[in-house]
Amino acid sequence: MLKYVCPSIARTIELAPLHWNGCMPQLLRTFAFCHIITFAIALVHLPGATAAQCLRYAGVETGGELLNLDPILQNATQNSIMVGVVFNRLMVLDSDFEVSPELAKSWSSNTDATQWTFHLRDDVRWHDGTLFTAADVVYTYRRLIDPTLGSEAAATLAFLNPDGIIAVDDTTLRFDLDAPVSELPLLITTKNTWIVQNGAGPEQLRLTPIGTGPFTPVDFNPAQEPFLFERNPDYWEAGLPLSPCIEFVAIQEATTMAAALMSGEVDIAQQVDFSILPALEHNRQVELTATGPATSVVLAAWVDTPPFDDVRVRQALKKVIDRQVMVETALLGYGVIGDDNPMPPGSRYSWRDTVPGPDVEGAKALLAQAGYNEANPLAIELYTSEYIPGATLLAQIFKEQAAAAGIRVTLIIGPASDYWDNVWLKHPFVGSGWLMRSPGEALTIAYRSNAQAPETHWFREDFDALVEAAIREPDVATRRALYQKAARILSQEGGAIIPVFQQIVAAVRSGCSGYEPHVQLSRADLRKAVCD
Amino acid sequence: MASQLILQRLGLALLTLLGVSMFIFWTTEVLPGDIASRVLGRQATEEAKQAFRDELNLERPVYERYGLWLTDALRGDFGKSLVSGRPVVDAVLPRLHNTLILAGYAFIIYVPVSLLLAIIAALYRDRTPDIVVSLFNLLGLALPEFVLGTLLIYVFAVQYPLFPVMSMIHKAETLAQILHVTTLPALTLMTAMAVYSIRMLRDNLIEVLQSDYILMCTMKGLGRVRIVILHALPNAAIPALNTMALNLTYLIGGVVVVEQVFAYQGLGSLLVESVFLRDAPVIEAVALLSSALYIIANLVADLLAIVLNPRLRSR
Amino acid sequence: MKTPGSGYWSRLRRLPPTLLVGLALLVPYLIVALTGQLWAPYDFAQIGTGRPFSPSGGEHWFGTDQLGRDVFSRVVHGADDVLFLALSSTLVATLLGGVLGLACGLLSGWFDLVVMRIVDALIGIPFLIMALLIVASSGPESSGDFSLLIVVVTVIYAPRIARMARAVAVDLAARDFVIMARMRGESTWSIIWRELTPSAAGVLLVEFGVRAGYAPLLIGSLSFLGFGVQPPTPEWGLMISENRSAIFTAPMAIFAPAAALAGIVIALNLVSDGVARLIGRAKADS
Repeated sequence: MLKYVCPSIARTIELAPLHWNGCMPQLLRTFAFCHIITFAIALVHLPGATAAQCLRYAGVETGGELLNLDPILQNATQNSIMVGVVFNRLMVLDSDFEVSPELAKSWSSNTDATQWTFHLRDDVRWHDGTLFTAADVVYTYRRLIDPTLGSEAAATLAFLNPDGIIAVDDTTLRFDLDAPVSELPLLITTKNTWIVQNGAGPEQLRLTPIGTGPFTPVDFNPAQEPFLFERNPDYWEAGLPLSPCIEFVAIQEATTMAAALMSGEVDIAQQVDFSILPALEHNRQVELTATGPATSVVLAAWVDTPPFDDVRVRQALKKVIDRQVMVETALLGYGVIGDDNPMPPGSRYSWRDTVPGPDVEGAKALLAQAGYNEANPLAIELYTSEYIPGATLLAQIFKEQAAAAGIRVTLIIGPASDYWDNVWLKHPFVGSGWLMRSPGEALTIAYRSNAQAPETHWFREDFDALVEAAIREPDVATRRALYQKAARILSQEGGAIIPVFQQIVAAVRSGCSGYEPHVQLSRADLRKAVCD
Repeated sequence: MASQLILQRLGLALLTLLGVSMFIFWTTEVLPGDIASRVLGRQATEEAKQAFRDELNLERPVYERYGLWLTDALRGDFGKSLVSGRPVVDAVLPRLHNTLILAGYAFIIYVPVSLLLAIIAALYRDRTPDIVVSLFNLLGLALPEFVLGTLLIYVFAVQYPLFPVMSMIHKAETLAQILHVTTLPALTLMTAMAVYSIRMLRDNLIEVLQSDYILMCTMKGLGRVRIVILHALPNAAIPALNTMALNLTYLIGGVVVVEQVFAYQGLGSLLVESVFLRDAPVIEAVALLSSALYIIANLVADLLAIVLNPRLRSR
Repeated sequence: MKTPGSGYWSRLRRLPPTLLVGLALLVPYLIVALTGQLWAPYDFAQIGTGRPFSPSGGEHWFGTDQLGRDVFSRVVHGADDVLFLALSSTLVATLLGGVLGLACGLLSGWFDLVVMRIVDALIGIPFLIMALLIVASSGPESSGDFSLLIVVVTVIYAPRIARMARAVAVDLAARDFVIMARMRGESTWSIIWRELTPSAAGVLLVEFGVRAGYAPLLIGSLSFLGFGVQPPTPEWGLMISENRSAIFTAPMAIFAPAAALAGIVIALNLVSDGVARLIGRAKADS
């Protein structure tokens, strides 16, 4: 075939006006062109990608030098998933925020919830063969709240006293608290609370961690993907994990992610971008599974700064939004409408099950009461960026919908990389978003007076009282009622507009099973995931 | 004579490198943004962030830090990543390796393809082959790399699975596997670069082919191809050498878009990640590296030009 | 009777064909840019005019994007943004780079040495990184600002154009007419303006044409990474980037702005090529 192609090219050039002679130039020409063609043919006939034995799991964030396997520092979701296969926690949190036993077999508290006792398993071994004991747990939690180590868990676990974490014996652990905490099991299962070995230091944990989990890292190097983890043959849950190994990769480009799923190069994609869902919905190679309401999208206004200090303005902004349109366009249907508080309508802690639709006339009336009308329109600036997928789309929709009520919104969209540093918390009206959390966590992290992230400058004693009472309340039904009251106040008077909750949509290649996405992006259960 | 010129060029190249290093260092240090929040996360406590910042010694004046950095760099020690504490070299080397493979591959196919298409277009000026080449050229110019890359993936990896979607270079062992995995991104890059060179080479070649010098060669009875390759092409190629050198810089640092589309772990994405994280030592090392490569490429181009064109030697 | 070759029509026919084709292509763009706002069926930011990512047909000639906005209207509205950004930024870069390069080529000596080192240093920094650094240092308020983008494009293009101009000037400086101008005692600035520029104009024009064609793509790449024009500006490069996920389901959302972009690139290239030939011909005739 080559002989046929190249001489014909030579003949074409012969058709040029002047003569073609000499064999050296001809060889040169033929060589140059032919080598490209041979190359191309040879490449195409190469055997395809080697058969995959490892489960190939694709995340979205890369992380680069940020990647490390030390549980206390988890800033990239991909990272958290990898840490999650190497370690275990005391308890497992499911998508409904119910806890079930893992390293802890059972637990109980005293009547006023100031003392919690946990009974631990006695048959768990670390990857280096030593036995897991309560001392490991004590070391782990003390590490988490140590301010010099800089974990973000220190803030959420601030209620723990380092001296109040006691190993009663090898399999019994006790937490002595300064104040009652009725939801302790929930709160000590947050993002960073994987159990590490007693005495493990940050340098060792970063690249060569020893855990109790179903997989162990193989030559972990943050600069080289894919990251390989292999099965722990002595894992304490019999018969698990099902996969012999896992390969983690990160694919930032949505279309590349879709192409990889369609061509079978990736087995599980943790989160598929909304824009690519229409392409995958009809593809027989790929199955999509969605969680319930997960990450919230928030527009946070400072309630102590004009014009947002007038509660009528805040209510008008909330009335103007057509939440269903937002779900259908920006989220392509994979979302749940929100009710301006962290508990989605229809959940156990929401104060109402349905949210009324948009009310432009009502919004205009409220604005008129507040002194805004056609001659003096409300003009506000919204700072945002693509900090989570769909955020800028939602901001654009908000702007258009607000215009219907005569509100002029100016969007200031900056680069996502600078956003949390330079913009968030620094302007009166910004976009924000939160992973789904338990109500106690969600309400305290952003809305309590001493919140770590006072997004809305909301300092209300009655609200604080409700939240604190709920945290201490041992009776489940009473606790629920207290959270619902708090939610109602936020909904009606708060500075946060929470129009939608995104659903997390995972894609699983047909032929793979055993994977359900979790409502929190930082968690994934890969023990039962396996592909044929 | 020539050696004096070479030394002069070398000296200038080093000076430029020094200037570039100063510029890069200064811009990186001046970048707003708090590295502590990026590394520890937005929910970390303020005291933790302050402790992190204190450890990094960011308080000393810029010129002092520049001096320290420069002296260390000359010894090959580019410091440690502010984010992970690992030596910068450990973070950069694997990516450099990947980038060199892709860049080499793209460059090796880019040169002959450009030359060939330019020659065809010049020889058949204003006739069908020329018009076809020019049209494809303009189309290639107008398509952004991410569209071209995605199209290639769609056609050659999804519809007709000839190549992999993601360029997992780390898993490739033999040369054949490496080439198989990097072909699609290399093709994308080749197209992106060729569109400039083809046009320039064609224009230059046409001009040279009309010159007296070539007329003389023809009258002397030299073969057409010999004329084109040995006489016309070197003259036409000299101005194009600079473009080729420029394309090399593009290959090192500008291919972030292609790297993102093909999930390829090269220097481009490392650079963007480090800017995002404000990891100054890594940014400085990578930017310096790519500038150094460009300066070397330029030096080679200059020297080649001197070799090919005796007229320049006496300047 | 009219002498052959002097009539209006025959003069037009003698213009280089590339110039004619290029202008023919460019004129519709100019018309759309100037009048598009008046007759486009929808506003460029109007959401929900149709189902998201619907393919072309019926009411929506090019389909809709993810927010249900009409792609055809957005392409039409984007014409003036694209033309303005591309042409103005390249113009500034060409003027700056051209003058600097010509001056260097003419003056040699210290000025040439220092400026060319700076130019080389600037070129040596990968252009995306340069753009990133500039955008990152100017803070979020100015993000998406057209003037910031003009600065970015200028900082990237001017050094490259300067190099080209310098090469031309070096060549020209050795020619008789420049040497004579020097002997006449003309000032540097006047030599640049009166002697060099006419001769260098051809090269500079080609540079301008090629780079103006690439400018929207450069800005599109920046937007792709999140550093360029910001939504909801209907800039074609940004549209291609925003809608790229639709490649499998509603490809018109990408191909319409891509074709528009390709068209303007080709038009600008052809026009600059044609003008260069015209100048070359005028030089040959004189």
